[in-house]
Amino acid sequence: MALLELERVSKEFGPLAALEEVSLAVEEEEFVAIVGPSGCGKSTLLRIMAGLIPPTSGRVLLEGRALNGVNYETALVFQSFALLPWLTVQANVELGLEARGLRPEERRRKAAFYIDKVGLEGYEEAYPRELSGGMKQRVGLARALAVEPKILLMDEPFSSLDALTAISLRELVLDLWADPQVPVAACVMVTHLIDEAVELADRVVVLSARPGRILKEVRVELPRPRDKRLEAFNGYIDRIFSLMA
Amino acid sequence: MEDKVDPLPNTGVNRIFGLLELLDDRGGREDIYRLADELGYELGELLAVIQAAELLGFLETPGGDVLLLPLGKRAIEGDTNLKKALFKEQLRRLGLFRHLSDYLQAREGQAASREEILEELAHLLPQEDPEQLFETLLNWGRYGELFGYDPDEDRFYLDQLWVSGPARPGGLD
Repeated sequence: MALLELERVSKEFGPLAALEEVSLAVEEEEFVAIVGPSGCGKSTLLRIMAGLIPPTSGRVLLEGRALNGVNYETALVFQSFALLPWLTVQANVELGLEARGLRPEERRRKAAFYIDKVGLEGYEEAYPRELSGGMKQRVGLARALAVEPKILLMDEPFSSLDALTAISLRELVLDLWADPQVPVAACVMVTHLIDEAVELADRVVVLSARPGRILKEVRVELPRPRDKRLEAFNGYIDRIFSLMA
Repeated sequence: MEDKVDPLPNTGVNRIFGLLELLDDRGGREDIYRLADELGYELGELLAVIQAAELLGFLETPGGDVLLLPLGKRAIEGDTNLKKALFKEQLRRLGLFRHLSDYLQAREGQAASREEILEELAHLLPQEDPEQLFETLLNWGRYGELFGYDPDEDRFYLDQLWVSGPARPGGLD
């Protein structure tokens, strides 16, 4: 049984069809990337997985059961970080834990653990205004991981960052993915960068232009860490690019 | 004898590690101009990252190239804790960090206000912009867990006691 499954999911916003008959299963221990042209409904798909918006038709199944409402087994990492500027790093990370009813002591303990995991020990009392974009996204990752979701959803998590910072954060995500102490069972990332998808994911789902339909799924059979100089790495990029072109 | 105090290039920790990763992807050596062009960085912006990584002993710049050193390679191959530990060890060798450690240790509560640190920076490095230097110092110091700053209390402090004597030449074991 898949961890998360979309069955013929379509989404319309008034007269605008955003997604059309998308069927997709996310398995345990799988890192899935969703790529597609701008406006193809990638982010909408992620929000439907998170239960933040309902599909117009079709079903979302979480471990075989139909999802109605917010999917508490997921946590989202946003492109724009979405930190509260009046809260410190520690308080921003604790925020999701408070919403889930954890006691203050337990909140502090969990937040400290994930702050450490993303390399932000030492920044606990800093405010977002004191942080670079890369450090803000580390906070975003810690906040999402702290609620210990089964499925981590990331919406263009590196696209607000400059090139070198994005490289550093991608490495961090790979380290976290490989870390047995981080209990995330699956990861779904939306990106518009094909090389980013091939670098990180086990499977790349290619969406068409609006309304988004699945054109193809490409399994990336390369061991990690992936060497971008390999012909095979560039072969995957060419293959996915030709599907999108 | 007083330490030589160099300014810190105005750049962040993520960029430094990003550059090391990129160099490693390229086999450990790359031309500076090609890198700047490819990354879409202004040359000055990239030079600040290169100078920072060189100051920390992670790379060197023979001719017009950037060359990843074994310490830089070790840092990117390590997990987050090793990266932080190596970064901290390298910071402890820098004159500016050693000077501020001595300065704070001599003070009651081993802490100072932001304004006091800005004054000290202006005195030490009069050619530099103290505000910008403070920002970089704090970013690097927090990552290396050497300095902390509580903005609510306006308190810049030694994150933990660290010996201001010479760091061991071999670095971390």
